[in-house]
Amino acid sequence: MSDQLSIKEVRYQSMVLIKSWPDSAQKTDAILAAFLGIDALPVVGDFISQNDIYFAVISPGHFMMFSNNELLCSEISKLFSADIASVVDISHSRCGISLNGKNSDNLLNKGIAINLTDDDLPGMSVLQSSIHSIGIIMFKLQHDDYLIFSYSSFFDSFYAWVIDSAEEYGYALT
Amino acid sequence: MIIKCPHCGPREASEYTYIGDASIQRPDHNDTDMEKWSDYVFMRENPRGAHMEHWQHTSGCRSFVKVLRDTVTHEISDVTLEGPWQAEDKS
Amino acid sequence: MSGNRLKNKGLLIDQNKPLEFTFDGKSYSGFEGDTLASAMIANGEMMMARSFKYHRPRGVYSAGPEEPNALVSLRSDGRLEPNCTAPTVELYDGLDAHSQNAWPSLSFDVMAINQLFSPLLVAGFYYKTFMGTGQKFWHFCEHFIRRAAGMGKASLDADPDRYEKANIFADIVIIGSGPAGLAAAKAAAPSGAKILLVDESAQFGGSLPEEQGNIDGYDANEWAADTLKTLSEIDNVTMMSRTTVYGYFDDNTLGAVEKVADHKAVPENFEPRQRHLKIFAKRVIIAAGSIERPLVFDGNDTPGVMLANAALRYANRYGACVGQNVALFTNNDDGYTTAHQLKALGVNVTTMIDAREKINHGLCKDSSINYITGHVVTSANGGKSLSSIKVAPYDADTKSIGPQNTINVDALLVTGGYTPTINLCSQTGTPAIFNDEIQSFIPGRANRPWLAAGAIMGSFDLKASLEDGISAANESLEALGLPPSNMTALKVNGQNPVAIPFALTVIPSSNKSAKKFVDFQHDVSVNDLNIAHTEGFRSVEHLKRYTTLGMAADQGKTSNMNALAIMAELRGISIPEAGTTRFRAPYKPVALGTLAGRDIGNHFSAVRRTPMHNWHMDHGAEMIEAGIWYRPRVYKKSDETLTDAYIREATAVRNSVGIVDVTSLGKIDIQGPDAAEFLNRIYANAFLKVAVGKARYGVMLREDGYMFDDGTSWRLSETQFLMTTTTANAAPVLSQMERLLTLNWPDLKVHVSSVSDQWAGMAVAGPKSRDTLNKIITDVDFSEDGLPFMGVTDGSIGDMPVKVARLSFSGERAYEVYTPTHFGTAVWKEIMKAGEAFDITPYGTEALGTLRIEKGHISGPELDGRTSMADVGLGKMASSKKQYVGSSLKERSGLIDQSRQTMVGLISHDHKPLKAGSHVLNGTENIGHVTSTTYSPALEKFIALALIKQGHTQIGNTLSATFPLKNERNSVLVVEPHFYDKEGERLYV
Repeated sequence: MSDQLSIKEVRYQSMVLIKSWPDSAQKTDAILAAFLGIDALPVVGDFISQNDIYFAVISPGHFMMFSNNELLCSEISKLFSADIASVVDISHSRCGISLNGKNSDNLLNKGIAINLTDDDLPGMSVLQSSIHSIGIIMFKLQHDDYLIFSYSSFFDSFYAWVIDSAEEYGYALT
Repeated sequence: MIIKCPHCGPREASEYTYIGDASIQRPDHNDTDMEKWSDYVFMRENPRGAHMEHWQHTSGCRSFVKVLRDTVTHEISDVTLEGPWQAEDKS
Repeated sequence: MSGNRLKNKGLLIDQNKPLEFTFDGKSYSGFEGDTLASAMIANGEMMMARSFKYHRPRGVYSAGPEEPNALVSLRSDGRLEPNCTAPTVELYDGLDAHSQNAWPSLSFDVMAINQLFSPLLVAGFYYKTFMGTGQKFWHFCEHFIRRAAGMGKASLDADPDRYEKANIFADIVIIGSGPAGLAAAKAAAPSGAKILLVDESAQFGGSLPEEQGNIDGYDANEWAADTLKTLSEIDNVTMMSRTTVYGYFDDNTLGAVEKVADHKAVPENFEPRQRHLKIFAKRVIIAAGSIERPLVFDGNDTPGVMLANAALRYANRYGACVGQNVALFTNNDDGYTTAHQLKALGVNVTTMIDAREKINHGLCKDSSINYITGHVVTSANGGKSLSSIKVAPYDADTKSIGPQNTINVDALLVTGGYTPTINLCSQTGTPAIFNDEIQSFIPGRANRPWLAAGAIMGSFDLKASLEDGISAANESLEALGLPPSNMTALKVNGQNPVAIPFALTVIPSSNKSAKKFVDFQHDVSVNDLNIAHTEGFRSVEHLKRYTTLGMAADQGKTSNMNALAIMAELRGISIPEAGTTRFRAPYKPVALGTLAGRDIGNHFSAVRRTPMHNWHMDHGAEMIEAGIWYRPRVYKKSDETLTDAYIREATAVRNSVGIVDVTSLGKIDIQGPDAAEFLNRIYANAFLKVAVGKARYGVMLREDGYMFDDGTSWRLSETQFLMTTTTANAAPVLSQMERLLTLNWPDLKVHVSSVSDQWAGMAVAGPKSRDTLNKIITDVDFSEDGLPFMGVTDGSIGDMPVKVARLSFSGERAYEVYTPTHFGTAVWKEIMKAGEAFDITPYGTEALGTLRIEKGHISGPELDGRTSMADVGLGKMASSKKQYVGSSLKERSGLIDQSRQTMVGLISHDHKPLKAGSHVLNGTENIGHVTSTTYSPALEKFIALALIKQGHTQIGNTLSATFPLKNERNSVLVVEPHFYDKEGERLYV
C-alpha cells in the first residue's frame, strides 16, 4: 500500500439490506448466489466484490449489497416475495469514505478497539462498530485499505473526526 | 469488560446495551395475569456471583446474546447467541 | 556551581550541549540529558519546595516518579502544569519551572508560620476543630485554609495542545524494562509473538546502570544496551518509553499514558503532547521493580536528606553530586554497595551509619569511610539545608538509644530496604502477600493472565531477576500455545548484595517537638499516626483517611509500607495482620486532557444534521440541540426576538402555509408477512386492519404500562409499514422491537430496520398547504377523495421521488413530504418556491411547539415516563379487545387511581408568560406541574399544558403556577387541554 494516507468521500448509487428468516434462509442464499453468479455465499463477516457489486454477509440471513448501478435496489426487490426475505433500500442512508495508505490502521485504532492486523481481520472482511459514538460499517479490502460508511446524518461529524485524526500523519484528500 | 459476540468477535462492553436478567421468562403475550407481569417487570434476584443476562450488540450486528457474568469479578464465562438463528462456526 | 557537577561523569548527559532554564525566575544551566532535579542538584540548589500543610522547606528526595517533595509547576498560561515531579521532568532549553505552595517566595514563605500551630493541625484537624461551630464560622475559616493548604494551581486557560488516544493489541505486554523485563523481552521476542515493552522512564534499562554485576561477560549496562539494540531490530517487538501503565482493568485491558512531547518545549506540528493508550493484552508480565524505603527519624524531611539509590543515580547518570560531606544511613547490606559506588564516582562519602550491630565486616571495604554499626541517626538538622545529624547507639531489644553525637554533614542518604511496586498486580484484586525476609508485600496469586517477575517479587538479586524474566516469558509463551524460548540461564558474576532490611519502624528520639515524617507529601508524621491509633482509627483504611497518609499525588509510594509497619507495631500485631489498603488506578496522576483526547470543542460529541442543514444556516436559523440532532429553533428576521419569531412563524402557518424540517424523527422500516400482527402487539390501539395507503397514529406503552412513545405508522403494502417515532425515542423503540422479535416472538416473520437516515422529512402545514404542493407534485390527486386525511401516497417533484402523507401535528391541513436524503434540499427549495405566492414561512421547533400545544397534542414533556394514556386523555384510544405490550400492567391500581395527575390546559391571567416546570398550587397544596408552555397567537394569551391532580375536577378554577427559583408566581385559569379548533375542522380547510 502507498506511503501516503489518503481520504476520499464515496457514495454508491444503490445500497440495500436483505434479511431472510431461518426457514427461508436456504432459498434466499440460492437466489442471491444465482444473482451474483457465484456457487456459494461468503461466510459471516466476509464480503466479495463481483461485477462492481459489493456483497457482504453481516450475520446469518443478514446481507448488504451496494453498487453504482442505480437500478440494483429495484432489481433485488423483484427477486424476493415478502415471505422469503425483506429488502430495505438504504441507498441514501449511508455516506462513506475510502481510507487507505500508511497509518490507516493507526488512525482507525484511535476510535475503535478492534485488532485490525491481517491475522485477526483478514482482507475482504466486513465489520460494524462505532467511532466517536457514530455507528459505522467498515469493509477491509486489504491491509491499510478500507471503505467506511456512517449514517448520512452523522457523516459531517464522522468526516471531521477522520480528518482530525489524520492530522498527525499528514494526509491527502483525493 | 469484553464480550465475545458470536458474529463479530470480542468487543468492548460499550458496544453493547444491557437488556436484562435472562433467568426470568416473559409471560406469553396473551397472558393477563397481573402477578406474572409484575414479577417479570419488577422482581429480580440480586446475586453475588454468577448472573445470567441478556445483552444486545447495539453498535455491531444488533444480535442478542445470553451472557453468564460474575457480578463480583466481572468475569464472563459464557456467551451464547439468542434468537431463531444459529451462530455460524467461524473456525 | 561547578562544585556539584562531577567531572566527566553522567551516562545520560551530553556536556557538549548546554541548556538554559529558569526556576522561580532565576536562570540556571544544565545539559541535554539532565532532569530538572539533577540540574538543580548540580547547581547546588537542594531546596525546591515547601510542604503541603506546614510549609516546611523540602528538597529532592528521590530520582523517580515516587518523588514526594520536589513538586514544581511547569510552563504557563494554557500549558501550565502543576505538581510535576522534578526528577521526572526532562530538561529542555528554555524550560520555565516554579515552586508551588510558597508566598511570597520559596525561601521566605509567610505560610511557614503554620508550623507554630502544628500541635493543632494534626490528624482529624477539620473534624475536631469545627465540630459544633456552625456553618458560618467554617465558611469564614475555609477561605483562609484553602489559600494556605494546597499544591500547584491549575490554569484557567484553554490548553492549546493536542491529546490523542490509541487502542493497542499485543500478545505479551511487559511492564518495566529493568533486568527482569529486558530478559523477558529477549526471551519472548524470537517466538514471533507480538510483544510490547513499556517503561515509564525516558530510558530503558531500569536499575541496570547502577548494577555492578556482569551478565554473560558483559557489564550490566552493556548487556542492557546490546539487548535493547537487538530488540529494536525485531519487527514483532514494540518498545515504548515514557509510557506509564496506570491501571489494570477487566479482561486484561491496561490503561497507559505515553508522554509524547512533554520533554519538548512545544509539540511539533500536530504531534500530541500525550497519548492515552488502551492496551488489550493476551498476557502481561509485570516487572515494575521496587522503590527504596525511607527511614523515619526527627527532621527526616530536611533538604539534603535523600534516598541512597537516588543519590547514586544522580551521580552515575547525571554527574550531579548531592553534597561535599555525605553520610549514609542504612539497615541493610545494599547501603554499602551504594556508598562505595558513590565514592568511586567522586562523591565524598565520609560516614556510614548502620542500625545493625552485627554485620559482615567484609562490607567495610573503604578505609576512608567511618563505618559506625549498631547506631542510628536520631535527627537531621539544618532547616532549609542539612548541616548536621545526630547519631546514637541503638539497642534493638529495648528499642532505645544511648547518648547522641553530632556529625557535620551536608547530605544524608537513607536506605531502609526496598518496597516492591505491586500496585498493578493488586489492582486486579488479588490480596498481597507479606514477605518476611524483605519486610514488605509482594504480589498475590495471579487471578488473571499476568505474571510478576524480578524485584517486584522480592528478587533483589540480579541473577534471580533475570531468571524470573525468562521464566515469565516462557510461561506466557506456553499459555499462548507457542514454544518456549531456547534462551539459557544467564551467567551472572559480581552482582550487588541483596537488601535484606533489619526491621526498624521508628527511630526513637529525645526531642518531643521535632517531627518524624512518614508521608512527606501530605505532611503526615508519626505523631499523626499515634493520634489516629489513640482515637481508634486503627484499621489501615481508617488510618489512611483519618491522617490522609498515602492520599497525595504520590499515593504513598514512599510512605505506605512504613505506615503499615508503625500501625502494626502500635497495635501489637504483625504487618500482614494489619493488611494493606485497596490499590486503585491510576498508579500515577493522569491529566484530564489525556482522558478527553480529541473529544473537545466541536468534536466533543457527534452531531446529527439533516440534509437541509446548510439551507437552514443560510436562512437565519438559530439551531437548537434535540438530542444529538441540530434542528432550527426559529428563523429570526432582522431585529426579532425569539418570541417575535415564533409567533410570526406560528401565525403564518395558521393563516397561510409554513414548512418545517421533521427529518430527525425516528423512521423504522417494518417488513414481513406478520408486520401488521407485530404492530398490533406493540401499539395500544388496533393496527391489524389499517388499509394499504393509510397511516395511523399509535401509542406504545412500556412493559410496565406507562406510555413509551407515540408516532404514526404508514402502511405501504400488505407486508410493509414505515413507522415514525419521536426523535428522542428512535433508538430505544428500535431496540425494544428487536428484543421482542428475537427473544419473545421468534415465530413472527418480521424484520425491523432503521431508515431514519434514508429519508428527509418536511411537514407543509396551513390552509394553503394543498395549493402549494399541488403545484409541484403533479402526479398526486390532492382532492379529498384522492388523498383523504391520514392517506399516504407516492409522487414526484420533477424526477425526485416523494412520499406524501396527509398528517397533522399542527391541527391545520397539512402534509408530510418525505424524499430520499440526497434530494432533501432540492425538494425543500421546490416547495419554498411553490409557496412563494402564499408567503410560505419556514418554521422551527418553537413554532412547532406553539401549534401543537394550542391543539393539546402531547409531546416529550408529557411523555416523560410517568404518564399513562388515561392521564393525557388518550385512555379511550387503548383497545380493550387485544393484548399488547403493557396492556396488563396498565390496569394496576396505581395507574388507574382516580387521584392521579391528569392533563389540563392553563391560561395565564395578567398576560404573564408561564415557565415549564412550574408547580401548580391549589391554595398551599402542590397538585402538579406545568409541562409545555407557549404564547398562543390564536388566543392572544400565554398558555400551557399541565398535569395536575384530578385535573378534570379543576376545570374552570383559578390556581397558581409558581417557579420558586425565579420567585415567580402566576395566576392561571384551568381549561380543557384543547385551546383551538376543538372539533378539528381546520384539517379540512
